[in-house]
Amino acid sequence: MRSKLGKFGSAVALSLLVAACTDTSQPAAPRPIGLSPSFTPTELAAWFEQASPVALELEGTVFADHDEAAGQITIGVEDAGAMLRLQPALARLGIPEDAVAFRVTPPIYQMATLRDSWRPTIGGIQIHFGNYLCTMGFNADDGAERSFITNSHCTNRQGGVEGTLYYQPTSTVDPTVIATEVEDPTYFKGGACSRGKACRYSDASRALYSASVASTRGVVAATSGPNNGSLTVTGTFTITSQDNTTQNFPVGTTVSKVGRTTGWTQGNTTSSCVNVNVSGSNITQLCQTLVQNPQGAVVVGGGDSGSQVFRITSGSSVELVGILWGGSSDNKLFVFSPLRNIQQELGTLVATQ
Amino acid sequence: MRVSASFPPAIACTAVLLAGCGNGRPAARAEASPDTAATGVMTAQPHDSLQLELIAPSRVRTGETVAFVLRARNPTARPMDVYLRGREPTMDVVVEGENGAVLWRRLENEVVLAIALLRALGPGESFEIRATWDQRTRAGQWVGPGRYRVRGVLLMEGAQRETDPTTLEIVAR
Repeated sequence: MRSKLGKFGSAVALSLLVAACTDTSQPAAPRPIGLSPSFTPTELAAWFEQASPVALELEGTVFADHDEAAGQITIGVEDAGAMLRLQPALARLGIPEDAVAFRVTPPIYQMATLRDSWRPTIGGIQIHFGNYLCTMGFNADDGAERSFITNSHCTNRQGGVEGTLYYQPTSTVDPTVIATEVEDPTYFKGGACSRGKACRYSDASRALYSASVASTRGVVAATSGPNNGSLTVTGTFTITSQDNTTQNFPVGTTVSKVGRTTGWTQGNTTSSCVNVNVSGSNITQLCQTLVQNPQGAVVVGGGDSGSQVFRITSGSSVELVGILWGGSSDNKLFVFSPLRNIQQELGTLVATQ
Repeated sequence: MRVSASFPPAIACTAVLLAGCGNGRPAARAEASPDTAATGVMTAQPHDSLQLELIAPSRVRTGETVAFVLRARNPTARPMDVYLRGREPTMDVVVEGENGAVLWRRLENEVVLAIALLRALGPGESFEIRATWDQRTRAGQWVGPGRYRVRGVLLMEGAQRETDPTTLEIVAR
């Protein structure tokens, strides 16, 4: 999903202007007689100085160019409406109508990455708390509460609710608290849990959005392709369904994730319902699924924690199947908690669009 | 609407305050040995200036626990932000035989959390991670007397970073 430049549009347009000002400064070709009068370069330069800031202020203007080669000022607009709004303003500046050519042109978008600021928020983007970076897995409604799901270990303390405050992309870029941790079940001992270990069936927590923060449910950022290392968002995936029942994924099931460190990666399930010890801790995650890329591609990195895991059903439609939380030290295997386990511990979540 | 992000100074400052809490997993200290040789230090100087050192004994007796320290240092005169993998700085250790065969890898078959941790290092500042090895192969067998090559590996946000190898000699008791 891309949004229009808004207040940043002027800066980009001005960049275009700088580039345009390097147009070949050969003498302007004579205008066809009777089509429009010729203006001197000095006149055009002066009018451009006046016209450019006025034009770029108006919504719908894409660029302004002093086109020395054509001997005119060219203004790119999104549609005829923008042109009609701009014409009177230019007339008030005393700029002859014939000195300005309008060109309808598509708006220019800023290329955003998974580590940039996103409003409304969507799955797959960077979140920040304390000294840590994780990934916003997916937006979901828990009853009437709009929330996002990330890992239990992407809270101030893994297991138990401490009211972790989240920022997006970081607190310095935007000091708005976008959400607060409200659900993170404690780890249990005994039962299916080995002696000396603390266990859960999912490494998942829920954060409740602040009222002022917009979020879109059922949308995950998409990059240009799987396993290519790109973090630039070029589109979106739509969560059209969620797998609320599977714990044992057939070996070879192809799944993807989008995370702020390694972007969109894809691999095949190699084991399901595996009890996994977390390195350097006494935690065991029960009944988890392991994923590797058959070609040995990197599929995970530090900061991907919380990434949603999904199956592509067709085109950009996907089925949500779980949440990634860890992987091998060589980054070639990741582990995810099935959505079934997540809902077993967090309750029913609606994550589809 | 999006804005390009660089990491926040505010977080960096907080990270400095918390720098003392993240020295990795506590590791059992190696038992002192009267004839354990002087500690060997190998240093790698990656292009981004973070300096990695693996501090290891150059000689131990069979059966002794071998202690390793991975020290990451900012050798520059300016602050440096380091993005690491894990809730705490995490290291791998690779022990190879003289023929290059990997005998033990600390994080082999381990699953590490995929969270990113920011450590802000002031000029000259460093942090250390400790690990131990019981002289057994990944199959659980004693490696026995001999010379071994050891590398330390720092898990970063993305790719790993390794130290140069150092030589460890295990001598019979």
